[in-house]
Amino acid sequence: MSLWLLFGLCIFYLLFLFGVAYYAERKSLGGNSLINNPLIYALSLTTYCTAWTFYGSVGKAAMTGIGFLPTYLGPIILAGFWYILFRYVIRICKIQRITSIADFIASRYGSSTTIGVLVSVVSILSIIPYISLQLKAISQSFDILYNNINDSDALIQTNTGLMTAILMSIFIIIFGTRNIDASERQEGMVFAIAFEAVFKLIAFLAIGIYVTFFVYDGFTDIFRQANDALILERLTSVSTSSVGGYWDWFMLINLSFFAFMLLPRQFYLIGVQNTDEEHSSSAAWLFSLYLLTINIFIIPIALGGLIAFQGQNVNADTFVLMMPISDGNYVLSLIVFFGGFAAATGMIIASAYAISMMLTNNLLLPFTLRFVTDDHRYNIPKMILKLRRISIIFIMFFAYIFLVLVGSEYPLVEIGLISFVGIVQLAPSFFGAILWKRGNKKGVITGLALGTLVWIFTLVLPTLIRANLIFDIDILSEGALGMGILRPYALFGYMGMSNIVHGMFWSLLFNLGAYIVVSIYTNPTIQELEKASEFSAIGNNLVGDRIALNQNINAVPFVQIKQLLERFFGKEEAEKLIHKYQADYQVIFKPHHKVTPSFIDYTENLLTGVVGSATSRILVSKIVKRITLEDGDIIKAVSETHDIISQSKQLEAKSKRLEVTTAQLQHANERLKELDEMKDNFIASISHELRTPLTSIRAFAEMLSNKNYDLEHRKDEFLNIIVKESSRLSHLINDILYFEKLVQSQDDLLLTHIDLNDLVDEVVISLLPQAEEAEVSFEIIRVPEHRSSIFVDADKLKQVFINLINNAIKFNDPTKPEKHIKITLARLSDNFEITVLDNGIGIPASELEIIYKEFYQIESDKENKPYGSGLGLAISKKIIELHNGTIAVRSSLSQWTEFVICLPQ
Amino acid sequence: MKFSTLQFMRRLQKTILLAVLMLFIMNFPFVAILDMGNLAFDIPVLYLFFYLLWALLIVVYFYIYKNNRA
Repeated sequence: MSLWLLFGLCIFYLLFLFGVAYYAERKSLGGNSLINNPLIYALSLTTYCTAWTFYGSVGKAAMTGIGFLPTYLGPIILAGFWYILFRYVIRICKIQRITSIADFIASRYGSSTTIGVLVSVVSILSIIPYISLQLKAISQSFDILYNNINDSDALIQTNTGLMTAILMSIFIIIFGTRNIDASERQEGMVFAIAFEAVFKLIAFLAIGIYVTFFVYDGFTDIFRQANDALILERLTSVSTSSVGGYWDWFMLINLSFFAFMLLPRQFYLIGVQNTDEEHSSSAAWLFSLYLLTINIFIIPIALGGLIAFQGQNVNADTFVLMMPISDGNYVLSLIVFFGGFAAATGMIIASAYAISMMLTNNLLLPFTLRFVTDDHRYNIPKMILKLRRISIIFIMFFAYIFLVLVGSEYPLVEIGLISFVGIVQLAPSFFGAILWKRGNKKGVITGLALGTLVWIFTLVLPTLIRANLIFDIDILSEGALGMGILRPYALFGYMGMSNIVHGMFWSLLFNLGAYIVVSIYTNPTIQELEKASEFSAIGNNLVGDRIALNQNINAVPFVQIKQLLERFFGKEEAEKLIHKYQADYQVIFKPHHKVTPSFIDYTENLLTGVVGSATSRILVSKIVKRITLEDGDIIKAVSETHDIISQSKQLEAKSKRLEVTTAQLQHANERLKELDEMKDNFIASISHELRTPLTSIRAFAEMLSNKNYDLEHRKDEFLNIIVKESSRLSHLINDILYFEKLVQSQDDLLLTHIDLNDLVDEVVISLLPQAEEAEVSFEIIRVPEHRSSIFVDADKLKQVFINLINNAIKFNDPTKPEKHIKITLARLSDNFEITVLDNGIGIPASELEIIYKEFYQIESDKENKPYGSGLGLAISKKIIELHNGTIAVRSSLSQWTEFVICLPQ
Repeated sequence: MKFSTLQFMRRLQKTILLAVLMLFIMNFPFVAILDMGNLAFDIPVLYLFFYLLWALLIVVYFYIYKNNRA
């Protein structure tokens, strides 16, 4: 097969691709979109499977076994989130007319030019090597095919890489840069990419089936042979697939999880080229199925190649191509070659286009437009298109330069992964944009800058050093500046991770750390807040329809906006766009009408589609003065906040009061329960007390009235008992009635001046019989005569003394030889103090508090109930309180008890 | 496809749970249990595990997304 025939076939394939794209464009102009379905959407996203998958995965599988898999596991896990993540990204891209990941991130953080530049630089730095990787795959496979088929002794090094670079540039320029509005769908390009996705799958399945079922006898046969050849052993374990074992495995899954939608081409196809957000749902499982299908044969081909080329010096990256060639199956090898070609060109088209957009919008335009917008000699639309074309050529050129300088030294997989780590630097700012409202511009800039520096130091620099382009190779082993902790592959001296995971870990650590810390400690600008809330409004409203966003914008005459649009879209197109808005919103603008804020948004978004968000904002800002928060607004906002805070404080206070009331109620409730229980006890005890005298009265009365008994001689005795019991009964009833009366008629006191000494004497004399019976002696210390007059209700106070002294007699201690009661009367400056001290049985400390309670009777007396109702002390306390006095008690168990009454005068 | 916020939240919960589960069983220490070089039908158990899990996941996605199509 001649060189020219092979070249001819390549040209034919590319022409065919042009034809496919052209066909789709024609169809879409006729109103029939070929890409408007989930299958094409899913297929376009498989540009994720590049030549790296096609050739490199087999190479990686041959070296590390299952180690190639994490690159696909990440996206598979992510696929579960497509319906929400993609929907969000798609809406933001559509509403804000965003055309690249740089625009997306810059837009969220206040349309920041700096962030736009940073993200673009990181993306371009990461993706150019990735594109050269594809060029390398193409030229390598071309050379292998040509040299092996022709079996030429002298290996011919062709320059397929350069040829491809040129042809790809032409393709992208033709199908990607015809329309000034980049947010418009590029039907031809997307359809061509989807076509290539099908082609590469078929080609890979063809070689997979060929190796598995024709060269070998099915899956089990390959594995059995590999096992016999002792190849399988070292390829079956996760732990040995990488230096860092399971940790590397985990990190690599995360790497692909995050990188999947951050790769500029993926973002572009996911967000910008989507035709219907509902496609993301069905595409999720279709895409997963595609990945599984293409992955099934990777290990069989790798093992098959290892068995077939055992002992030969064959690069594992080329197994896919070498298997059919070595069997002389040239047709199949051609199919495989074009499968790889499709995988590579699909990626090149999408990537080069996506990053050329960033190069134009974020790096070239902001600086160019500064000089030309006011100069009417320039035709801006034409100039922008020209810049885009130059960017594409520039990118392809540098990809080729990189291939020549570095690319030939490295296996496919390593360069691909270095690019991934570069791209994953966008993860904190991107996912922060979606999930964390607090994240701000300063945080992103610091994080991204630090992460990128660490990435360059740990992965890019060593690559260049190993390609002998810069510095001395000693830096790798001795560290930068001769410092051991600054070794690019072993930062801070740790070597337990693979180079890729090592670089990923440290760069992301610095990146994410700086992003979070700086975001927390600095404040966002008003612009950022505005954008952040627009983004989160879209995020919060994913279920419903899109919502209109309004901004505070000063009135601007329509004519100025119109001129701006005309400069960028041309008169005709601008007219159409304005007409569309007027139709949608049912408004008509006259030249000097003030436009609505939503029309300014519309304009800004239209311009974002052309020049990117940062530049668009600058352009609109030139004619629209945005209302910034005035002092008054801030005060208003502060006072509103203050109101809310004070309201919440009031609420808090109320709830506290409620708590107190609840506690009080609870307390009252407990008290009620206690009283209720006491009443029950009282009724039980009082009915017993009432029944006891009644029973004896009745019994003795019956006996007396019974004629059968001769009781004449005991008649007096019985009658005495009856009288005593009756008086006890009436005494009890009196007590109850008296207490009731006291409780009900609080201030019904009959106050008179009487002599305290006389009052006490009277009481003591009346109680002498009981005292003598109990062998208790009295000692009374009186007040001096001239000071003994007291102004009280005499009867009531007498009752108190009776109760207290009676108790003192009742609760004497029979074990003591001398029982006495000491009553002390004293007149202090303006009150009387009356003390009743006995040496009786005392009151337990635990009961001192409750002795005044109604119906309380001392526990120890239960068995032998004393003569009383349990009301004595309650009545006494009530009376003293009615006199505004106090009554207190002190006691020592089985030694003494002292009651102290204090009566003011 | 229009579905309510509640359905949306339910689906989100399901997906997050699924993703956490996947991350868990695709990593140490779960994978280490299968990672002992054993063969089933001459094929390493680890390979079978990952590919079958993958296929299962596609079926799950298919049903999750299908059920929500109104």
